[in-house]
Amino acid sequence: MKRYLLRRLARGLLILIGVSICSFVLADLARGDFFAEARLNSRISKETIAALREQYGLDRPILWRYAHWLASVFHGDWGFSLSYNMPVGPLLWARMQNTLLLTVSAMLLTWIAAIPLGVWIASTGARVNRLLSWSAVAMLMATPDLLVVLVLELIATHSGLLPLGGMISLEYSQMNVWDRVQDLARHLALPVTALVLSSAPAVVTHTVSAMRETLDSAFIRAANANGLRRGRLLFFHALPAAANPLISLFSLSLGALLSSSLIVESALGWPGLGRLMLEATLQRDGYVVIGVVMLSAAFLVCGTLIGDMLLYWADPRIRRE
Amino acid sequence: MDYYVDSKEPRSAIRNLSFSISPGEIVGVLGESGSGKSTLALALLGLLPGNARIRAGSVLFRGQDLLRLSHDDFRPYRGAVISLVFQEPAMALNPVMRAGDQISEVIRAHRHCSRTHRRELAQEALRGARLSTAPEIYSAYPHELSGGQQQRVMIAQALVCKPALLIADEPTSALDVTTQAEVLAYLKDSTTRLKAAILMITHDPTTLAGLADRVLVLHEGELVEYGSFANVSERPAHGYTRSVFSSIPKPPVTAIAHREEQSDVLIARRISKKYSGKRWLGKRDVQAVSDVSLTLRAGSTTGLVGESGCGKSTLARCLAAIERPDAGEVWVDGFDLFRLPSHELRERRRAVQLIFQNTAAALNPWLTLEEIVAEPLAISGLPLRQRRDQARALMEELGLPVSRSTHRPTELSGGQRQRLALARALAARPKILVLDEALSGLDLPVQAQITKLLKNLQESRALAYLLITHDLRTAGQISDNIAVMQTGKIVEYRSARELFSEPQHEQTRSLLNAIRSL
Repeated sequence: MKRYLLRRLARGLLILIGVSICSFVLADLARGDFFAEARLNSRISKETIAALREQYGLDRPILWRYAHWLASVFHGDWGFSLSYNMPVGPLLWARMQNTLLLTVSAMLLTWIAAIPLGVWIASTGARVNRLLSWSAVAMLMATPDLLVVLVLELIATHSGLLPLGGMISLEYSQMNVWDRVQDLARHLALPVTALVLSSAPAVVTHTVSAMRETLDSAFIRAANANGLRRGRLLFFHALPAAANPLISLFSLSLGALLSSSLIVESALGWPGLGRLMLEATLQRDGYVVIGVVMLSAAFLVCGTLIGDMLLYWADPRIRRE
Repeated sequence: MDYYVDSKEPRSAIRNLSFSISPGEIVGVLGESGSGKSTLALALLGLLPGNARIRAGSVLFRGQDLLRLSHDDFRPYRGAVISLVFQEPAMALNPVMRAGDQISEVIRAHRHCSRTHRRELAQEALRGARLSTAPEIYSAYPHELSGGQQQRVMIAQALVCKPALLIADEPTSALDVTTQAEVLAYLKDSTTRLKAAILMITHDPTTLAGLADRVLVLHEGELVEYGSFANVSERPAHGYTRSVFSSIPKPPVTAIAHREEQSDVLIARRISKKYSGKRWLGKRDVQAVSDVSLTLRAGSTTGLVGESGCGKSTLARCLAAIERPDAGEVWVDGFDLFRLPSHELRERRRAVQLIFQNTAAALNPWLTLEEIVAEPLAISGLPLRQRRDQARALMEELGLPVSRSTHRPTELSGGQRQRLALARALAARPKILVLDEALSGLDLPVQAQITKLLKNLQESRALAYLLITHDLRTAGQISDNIAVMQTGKIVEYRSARELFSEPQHEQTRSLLNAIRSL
């Protein structure tokens, strides 16, 4: 078990190195750099631009820059952001916390709501219930995320109960701890709802199909014949047996924790990684882009590893191999 | 108890059936697949699927009509008063739950007691099931248990709340003959101890012999015969009952002498095959087949008999060159299959064709019957039309409805599917057919028909058969020679008649005892 884990971690590290090389080469292949736009500006002389490029090492060969970047990774700097004029590491760290606050709470809510709903839809005998809930889920699934955000904003504007964007109020720094938490929660409500509404349908449909198949199996019929109570049967006998596809889905969404909120962040002005990535790409702030790519890759590697561990824990048949 | 069940569309499964059963009594329900016997079991527990309706009738249990109870009011009866043992224990146990916990869950559903007390009761139930290593079984997952152990866990689960009635739906048909006898004995024993009644549902009358007090014979949803087992078996009144009892295999049958001069078509020498199973702690190697030699003659049948897990299927796969043995040679037509280059091996191994037990899984459900049979002909380079004609001719020879040649295999009955698998195998023009439990799982009259068909085919085509089975009765019926296998080795290999009259090895004797006690 320990050896397996170590092997997986080593493989994850290799993947990350590969990703970093690929993103360096791709960033290098793209034309222009952070100072490309300054060249169009007639008031900035060519010499100034050349001096600036030399100062930040942009004129050096790619291997030198890669080695330099690797060294800065070990210092926790992760390169230097030209548009923010600060090391990438601390910048990413702060933004990542904001994004994770949003996506982790959305993910928790999604799973807490979607699993019981899926189990209920799969097990309900009444055709009307099934039809209604099923069409609601299908409709949500077909709605573009942006539309969901817009509708939520509309509701928020008309009710006036919730702030429309941003993460904190202007007076945040003067508030005591309890008020701060409340303020944060009020700002979280809108983007979290949008994320839950956009990600829950997939979880519900997966739960329904996995549960339907399991409820059809002989061992559930046997459990029924043994007179087990319905709730116990559904959640302690059928759900664990139906867990495999759900765990795979869970590990996928773990891997997407940093990228799933891109649209919502941009639309609602949440100061997270998604917006940072978008801005940095447009401004050709190379090291920031590479940093975000690396972080996303790291999450994906960890997500699949956690997913595999969960599968191992949940299914004794896998444990044998 | 008065009883009458009817499921509405598309046909009625059971019509106008009445019977009663009293404490301590064992009543057998005999019928072929589709006769409504499993519907009966589910109806008694109020567990009919949603598309079934009970049109009329009642199930009286201690004066209470169970059919009038709602699903929730019925719940306390299930598993505690009336319990059910399913046919396939491997499917009926939850794969992700420990065996002991599955028993403890039943106690939890019906009684208020602490977790530790439940655990003790479950352990006790497992010990009662004569599972000698009860603590280990308790914490084992179903896939870690053998078929016999799984079925004992199921029975322990059904008996743990001391029910008044136990319904056993084909409780032994998925098990070896030797295990079958043990499980049946245990079932009878424990019910006499609990003074419970058993309703024993089966397609095989031999499992009822010496066990059932009375027998109900179901045919197409109707009760066609009812009486004591002795009466029904000795003086069957209905046509179906007669055909069931007359098709019980009665070994040994005539050994045929005139085939002595036939040539050897397959010679296997010193075959060995090892599987290495990786575990978390260290490796565990399994020697599936060790040092086995075997000769198959044209026009004769060799039976290969052994309990499940003795390596007989592995040996079959080696002989058909599906699997490469670690050591040994397989000579077919003067060629050692495993020394041939791969393209020649592909050509030569067509001489050996395999027929499996589970025909539903061995036939591609997306192809039509005709396409399935014509597929092996594709290699012959014949034009499509001729291939189709040949396929139809084969289907006709094997008694398959040619008019339905564009239908799919899922629409066929078990016996017809086995005929189709035979037609497909014959299309490759084999010299040897390996029949891996090809007759088990079929209703007895169907078994008898297929056996007859196999004999005819053997005579007209001089085929060599290797009949693999766990049941000496089946083997004895058509085999000239029988090899008995135990833990990868052949322990006895003689003519069928000698083997039955004077068994030498202990394993042969125990297999013979198992079928005699049934």
